[in-house]
Parts: sequence; C-alpha cells; structure tokens
Amino acid sequence: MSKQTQDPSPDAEETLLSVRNLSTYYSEGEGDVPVRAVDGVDFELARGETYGLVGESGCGKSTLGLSLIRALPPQGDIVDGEVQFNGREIGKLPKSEVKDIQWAEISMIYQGAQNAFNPVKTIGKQIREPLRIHDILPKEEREGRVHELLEKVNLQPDVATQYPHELSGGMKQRAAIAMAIACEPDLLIADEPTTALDVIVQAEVLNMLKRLQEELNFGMLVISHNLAAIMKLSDRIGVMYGGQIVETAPSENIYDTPKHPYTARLLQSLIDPRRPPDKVKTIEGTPPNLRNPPTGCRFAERCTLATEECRAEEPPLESAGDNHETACFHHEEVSQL
Amino acid sequence: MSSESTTAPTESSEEPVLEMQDLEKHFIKSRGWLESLFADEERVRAVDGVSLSIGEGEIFSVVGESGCGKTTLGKTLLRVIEPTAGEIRFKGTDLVSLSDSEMQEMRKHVQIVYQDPFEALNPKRTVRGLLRQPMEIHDITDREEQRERIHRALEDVNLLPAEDFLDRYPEELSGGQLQRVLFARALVLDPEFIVADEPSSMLDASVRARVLDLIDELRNERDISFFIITHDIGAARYLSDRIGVMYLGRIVEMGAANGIIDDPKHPYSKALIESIPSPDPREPLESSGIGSEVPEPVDLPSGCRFHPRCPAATGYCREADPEWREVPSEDDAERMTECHEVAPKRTPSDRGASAGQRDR
Repeated sequence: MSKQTQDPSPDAEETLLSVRNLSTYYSEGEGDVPVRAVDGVDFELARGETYGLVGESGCGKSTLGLSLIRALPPQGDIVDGEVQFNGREIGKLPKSEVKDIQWAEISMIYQGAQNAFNPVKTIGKQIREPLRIHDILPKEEREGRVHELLEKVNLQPDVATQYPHELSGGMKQRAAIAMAIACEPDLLIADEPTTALDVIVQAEVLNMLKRLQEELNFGMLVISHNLAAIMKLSDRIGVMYGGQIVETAPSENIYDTPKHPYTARLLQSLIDPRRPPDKVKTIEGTPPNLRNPPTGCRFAERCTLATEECRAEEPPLESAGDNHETACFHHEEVSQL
Repeated sequence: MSSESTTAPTESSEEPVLEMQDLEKHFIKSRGWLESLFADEERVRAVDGVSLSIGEGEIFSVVGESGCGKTTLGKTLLRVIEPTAGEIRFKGTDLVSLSDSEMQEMRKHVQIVYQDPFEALNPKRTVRGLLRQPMEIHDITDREEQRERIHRALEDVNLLPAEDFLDRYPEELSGGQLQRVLFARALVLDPEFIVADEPSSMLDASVRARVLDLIDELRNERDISFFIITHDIGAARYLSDRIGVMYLGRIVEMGAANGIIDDPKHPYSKALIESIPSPDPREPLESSGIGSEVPEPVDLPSGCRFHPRCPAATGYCREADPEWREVPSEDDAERMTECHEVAPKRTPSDRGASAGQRDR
C-alpha cells in the first residue's frame, strides 16, 4: 500500500497511458443500432500506478480493457477518441502493428484466465509463447526464463511440464500472471483477476500483483466488480456506469467521501463480514439500455437525488475538489445518502 | 439482521428439520486398467463424516475454500448424489433408506437451487414453462392450481407484476432476475427445506443484496429452512443463524454466525476470515499465512487433516485425530470445533485416551 501515501496524480512526464474521449460500440452490422458499451471515457495512468475500474456487469469496463489492448471481438469497434500509450497513438494502429504491442508492451490477464489455457499444451509451452512471438531471448534461454517466471508467482518449476487440468484454479491464475509478465510489459490489464477465486487465493493473488508491480514498475489497470478487493490494490478508482466514468478519485477518497450517488450506493451494498450492516441496501432499478441510453444523466432513473435538470442534461465529469472528479449535479448532497 | 432472534436450534425442544449423522461421500478415482492391477484404488473423501442438524426456519451456511467438499455435501444431503455412508433424516424420515420413487416424492419438500442460473435454466423455455416443469414432474397438473402456484412464487421472489415475466425467456432477464426465477422454481412445490449453492456469489453487489433479502423473507414468511453453501462469507454472516466451516470433507468449526466471524477458534477459520478484504483501502490485505493450495482429499494427512498448513500445529497434531468438542466462546455457548490447540486444551491423559483412535 506504499504508493497511496504519495501524491497519486501522475506527473506529466511519467504518463504511460492517456485515454481521451474513447468510445467503443458493438454492432451486429449495418442497420443495427449499436450498443454504446464505452461512451466517451477519459483517464490517465502513470508508470507504477494502479487504476481500478469498478462497476456492475454490462457497464463497459471489460470492453474498455479490450479496447486498450486492441483485442475486441469482431462486432466491437473503437468509433471515437484517442489512446496515447508510451507517447504514441495506438487506438487506430493497423492490426499488423497491434501484434507488436500485445504481450510485449501491453498484456492482459483475461477474465476467466484460469480457463483460457489451451488444454493440450503444457503450461511451460504456453508461457514461452509470448517470448517466442516477440523473439525475446535466444531459444535455449527461454526455458530458464519460464522457470524464473514461475518462481516469481510462487509456482514450482515442474509446473512447466504440467497440463492445465493438473493445476488448481489458483495455480492457473498465477500461471496466467506469469505469462502476462513474461515480456515485462509497461502496462498490465487485469480483468476480474480474483473473481471465482475464494478469499484465501484472492488475497494471495492481489498481494502478488502488488509485489510484481513494485518489482517491475508496470502501470496496472484492474477491472472488477469486487469493490473491496479493487480498493485494496488501486491508487485511484474510476467508477463506471452505463459506458461512462462517473467518478474518479484516489481510493481513500472514494471510500471516505464518494461524490457520485451511484458510488455511494455501491459502497452501501458491500458487506464487510467483520462489521456487518443491519440492512444491506439494494440499488433499485436496472442499468440503462446502451443501445438507446436516456438523455441526461444515465443514473437518474435509479437515483433518489435526481431532479428535472438531471433528466434533461448530461452532467460532465468535473472536479469536485482534491483530485476528485464526479459527473453529478448534486454531488454536494451525496453525503446525505 | 435477523440472526439470533429466531433460533437456537440445538437448544430447541422441537425436532430438527434435517439431520445428518456421520455422512460420507467418497469417490473412487478412475484410472487405467493396468494401473488398477498394481495399486489400491484411490478414494477421494469429498465428504468425510459430517454430523449436524438444522432447525425449523433456520438458515445454516457452510463456508470453505473451493475443493473443501461443500458442494458435494449439499448434493449428498438431498441424495442428488448417493452418500457412501451415514444417515440423513428429514423430519424423522430416513432419506437414505427411501426407494427412488419415495425419494422423488420427498423432493417436493426438499429442494436444491444451483449456483449458475445461466446453466440451470433451459433457454428455450419461458418463465411460465420453467416454473411449470417441476410441478409436472410432481403430478400437479391442474391448470388452475399451477397458475396459482406460479403467481404466488413470482410474488414471493418479487418478480412483479407476474404477468410481465411469464412469457419472457431467460436471455431477456438480468442475472439477479434469473437467480430469483431459480428460487421461484423451487417455491412452486412449496418446499420446507432448500439447499442453495452459492446463491449470491455470481451477482453484482447491488443485486446480491436483493437475493439475500429474498432468502430472509422466505424464511420469515414461509418458514423455510435453508442450507446455504457459499464462499461469500459476508453473505453467510448477514443471513445465517449458524455457520459451519468446512475443510477437506469435514466441518472443523461450527457455531452462531456472529461468533464464528468475530471470534473464530480453529486456525483454519481464522485464516479464512482474515483473508477477507475489508473495503477500507487503508487496511492492508493480509495473506492468510496458510498458503493457497488445498490438498486433494485422497491421501489424507495423519492426525489433524489441517496440520500441514496450520501455523499452530505441533507434533501431536500429526499423530492424533482431533476430537469434535465444545469450546467456550463469548456469546456462543455451543461453539464446537475439532482442533487440539484451541483452549482449553485437553490434558495429556485425556489425549492419551483418544489418541490414535479414529472415532469417525
């Protein structure tokens, strides 16, 4: 948790990733009304920093991750915006050049990575794959590198000769991390890295990501619906709702003084078993239809603070003091929720 | 929330709704025929001697890591899979001795709700069809009665107005709504006991609260008893009267839900509870200190099965099986655990008496 005592705002010169007005839509083809999965997102990430993206299923957080590493499914397209990474624009790179970046500069631990391994190849062969593609190290040194990587994630070297089905879920997740850091990328994207893992493995994986980041100094984008876990790991949090970032601030500020009603409700729906609430609060209603999002604030129909203004006009993401941005006309009233 | 107010089931004079005694489910590991000529069969002891009882209107949760046997326990206790040994009694009836057709009849009263609504629901059936199906299996064929039961079930799970949901297909519903359809499917048969496997862990936090409240309402309004299997320890505490902590096929600690979380006694319960992240970003996340690999329950360690991972283990723990015993605990008179090291330790002469004998 060392970094959280420092000023978390990235220095201009250290900025690793800068996303401006990014929009990614899914469309089944001409005539189909597109799903606006990511709809005008801005954020920045510095080297060595962790940014946590949190929100409910369908809010666009995984799509945002897939857009950055340019691994969208065929129906998905970046339709607008810029992605500046290491000083160059990668949002519009042709496919042939995207391959040079994947694994080498940006790598991703995909959601359900435990099940993403090829069942008929050994773990070692699969971890070696990114090294081979990017021609890193002479061939004969790659096996040693695989063992070194396994050691970094607390796995025995003989795991290299094993097949995915011989490993537990937690071991596979650690192998996926070893593969993601094989080429020492500048940016690591982790999509739900601990979902489906039980608490003991979860704590181990989160602490491991933190340790590896301190060692390798990559920037990290963590995507999760598990607010408690993500706040442990992240310097800053971005809360996504309906394809947009509605609030962003250092983790402590999000926890202490949420300034968007949606964030406040999310925090109220958490159950800390050591301090259980008398009554867990539910967020009534459902997320907006992203083929046809409402005018104005997308959270308005579920929001108890909403007024006419909210339904008529979209609140911009604006500074609400101290490193804290929110997209809410009523952010001063959020503390009363 | 609800917890203590309702039940202290082991004290209650009423007969428990469901009771299991020394329940076991062992699987024989499949292997090649050649290998099987030369080696003894390998037994996976998924459930290895579980005894507990659940009172009327009680919510009991079993928590533990994946691979601890909790899902197998849930299936075995309703004979979705057949137990290897042990007794299961539902309101006094011995379920194990029932014939298949008698067990089928019994399932009206004891239902299981599986964890993944996307897998458990046929995507080609409407909500009406999905809810009608269990009734047809149980010969509730009168259309008017079916209609009434479907409406009541949808009302109970708060999918309202019911008419709006009857003709919808699973893909037209959200995850939380699907989870509620799964419960409604169990409710049309008017069960008295429901096993729910991970009812909340697939859901977003905002929706999860609704499903937890639903379970509590069903208990309060229909007096249904619940056996919940979960790794969501927050949900377990919020909902349950009692919690059992399971490790490698056995319940290693059991007691009032609040007590188990606030003051766990067994080193495994402690490690499990310490690993839960608190939402406050300033509080560091502790690694459990017991490693994350659950051994496969094949070659079980001698003595206490937790000793290879246990920070408190002594030489004695490697030799002797710990006994299932009451341990005093603040505001929980009935805390039970199986650990040599939990105070008050038994005297060496007591220990000598039980050492080495497997009383299981």
